[in-house]
Amino acid sequence: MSENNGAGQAESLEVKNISTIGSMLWIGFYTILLNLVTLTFFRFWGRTHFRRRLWSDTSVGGEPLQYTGKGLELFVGFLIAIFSLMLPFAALVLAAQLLLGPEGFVIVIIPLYLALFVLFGIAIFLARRYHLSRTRLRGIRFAQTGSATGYGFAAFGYGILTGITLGWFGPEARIRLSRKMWSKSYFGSEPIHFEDTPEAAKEPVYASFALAWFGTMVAYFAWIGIIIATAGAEGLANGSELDPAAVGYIYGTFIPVALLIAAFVSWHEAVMIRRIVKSLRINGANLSSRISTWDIIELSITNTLLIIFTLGFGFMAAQMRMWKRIANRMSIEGEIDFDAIKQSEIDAPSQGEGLADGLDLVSNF
Amino acid sequence: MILENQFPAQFYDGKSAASQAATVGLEPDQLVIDIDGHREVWTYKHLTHIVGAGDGLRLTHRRNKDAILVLGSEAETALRAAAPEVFDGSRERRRMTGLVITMIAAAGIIGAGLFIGVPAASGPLAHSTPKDFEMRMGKNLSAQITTLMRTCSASTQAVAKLQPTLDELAETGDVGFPITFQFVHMSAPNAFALPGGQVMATSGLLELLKDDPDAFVGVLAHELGHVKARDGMQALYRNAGLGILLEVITGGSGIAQQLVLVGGQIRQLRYNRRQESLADETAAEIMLKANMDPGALARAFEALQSYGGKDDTRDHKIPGWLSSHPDTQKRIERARERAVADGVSPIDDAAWAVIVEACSKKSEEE
Repeated sequence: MSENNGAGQAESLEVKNISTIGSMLWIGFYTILLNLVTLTFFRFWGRTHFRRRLWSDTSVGGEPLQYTGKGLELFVGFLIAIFSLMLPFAALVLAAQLLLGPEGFVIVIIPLYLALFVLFGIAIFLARRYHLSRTRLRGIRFAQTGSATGYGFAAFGYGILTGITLGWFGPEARIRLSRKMWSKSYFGSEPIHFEDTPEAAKEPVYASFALAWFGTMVAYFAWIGIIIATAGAEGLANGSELDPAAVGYIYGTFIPVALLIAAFVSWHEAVMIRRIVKSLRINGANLSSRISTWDIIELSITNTLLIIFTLGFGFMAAQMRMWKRIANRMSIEGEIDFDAIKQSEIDAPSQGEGLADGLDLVSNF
Repeated sequence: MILENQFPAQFYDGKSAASQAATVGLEPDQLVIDIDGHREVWTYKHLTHIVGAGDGLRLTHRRNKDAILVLGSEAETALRAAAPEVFDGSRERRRMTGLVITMIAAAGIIGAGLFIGVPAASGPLAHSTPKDFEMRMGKNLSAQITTLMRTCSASTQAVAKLQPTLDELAETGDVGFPITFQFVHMSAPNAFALPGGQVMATSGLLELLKDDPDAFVGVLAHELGHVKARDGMQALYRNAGLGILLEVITGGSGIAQQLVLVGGQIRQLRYNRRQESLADETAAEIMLKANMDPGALARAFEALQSYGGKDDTRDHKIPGWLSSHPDTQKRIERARERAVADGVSPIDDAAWAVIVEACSKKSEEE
């Protein structure tokens, strides 16, 4: 039993996850099997089982997180989104396609698809709101307020800026969107703050991005050059019918290139995780992360192998391993006065993630 | 009455995150929690055991779902003895089993509805669709397809030579729609009928049958059979139904449905065996009424069959209306049975000379 019995004391907390691959492989296994015979309807319950297990295996200061969401809530949310939004959208696209000429079709379809991109952001925001509202620690609910529409438009605008800048606005966009989410998040009555702490600001966000960007470009074009120089001249120029040996050669040579690119990108990914975690403050405590580039490289490789060798059954186990590493590399520095934190009075959504499900954007955790 | 079994515990009341010291007493049907003089009674029946990390046994109760009671090992042993049903997962297992069976049944009903009901309804739906509506759809689909498959540069001149024959066949066969025909660039030999009388033939088909205009017309007569049966509309309704299924399965964004729809069109509106046989039958009747020899259709089948047989890797290029049928030989035989010796060729040599150049390199250069 936890030693944190004394009321009124401020506590410094350890974050820990004890999930095992076996338990998550089992959930992944029966979820996929039951998906096959239920037209994938079981996915909502499978996801719920995964989250329940993942959260209950994660403790903060010795107290486990609790996931209280239900498969039925996800299912109902999905049905509402499908029938109120996705099917009418599909019907509209269909009608435009069949009843309008190509010009009319384009005039109708472009705003529709632009709206869809805004919906992506809204869906992500709403899904997180649901997920947080079903997460408890010490009996206290997490919550998220703020405008989903505002987030949707921001995500859309940042997406355009990221495209225009060939990806260079991406890290800034990610930080801004994280700020939008986290600065509207609560643990019970206690707001969670997203601040540019000195520790967070030290993270080399753009140096790591520059290496990832240039490294990827150089590696990719070097690979293309090698392919053309060694085998491509005949195989590629001859037209559409590539022989299997050439295809094997192309994929074979891409594996070391992909590993090299993964190494470049991993540094940036580790930096971004640390940057975001170190920006978070709750009550008197700051969050910190020691996740390293090697953690990301190792997990990327081993998780890929895990998914391949389990024929996909290991997908949830791979996601768990990523979360486990992030959690176990996280710490809460400073003290939280739990006595001062009261139950959340923010209304929790009655069903969840329907839009994200409808748009196929939902994540297991 | 509180038994002598009393244990120290930790309590989160669900109102604040503070951890509170408590004492728990176990009674025959319930446990009594004493928190600094305040008593909470939790019946065993509505207790839930929270499995997870952290020391101690965690419990919640239906009366106050936010509250958590944390028991030490001694209390856990006593509770397991007093209320084993709290730890018995059979109730949850029964609930999940019932849920899964319900989902399988629902999936079966939905699947049957989509795989059997939608195709069954597509015929009556197609035939009750207003013809001008179908023609508009066909025209738009044709415009979209020709953005993906380029129209042959001399298609207009060639179609001008072919149109009288098409019009005559359509009238003779009482097809019900005016025929709009185009040649499109595609190396695989194929022809397809979109809704509302839009018919297309590929450059590959023209190349394959360049020495046999009657066989070429036979293929077009087959497509007129699809137009008459409104198979294009049926395929549209079927594909839309399949799109809904994908929507449910993938949780997609509607894009899946659209891909199925357009894909269905571009992949030559693959029809079922019954529809193909009926189109063959209609083609033979049209040809006979137009004093043509239905045996020409058999020659077209043979040419297409030999095209697919030349090289195994080319199998995928055999047109859908042929490749979906392992009994092509039977179709050839049936067409031969209808053959007549005195068939009249509907296209003269001069007209055919223009038609075969519809997609040629020469016409492209010009």
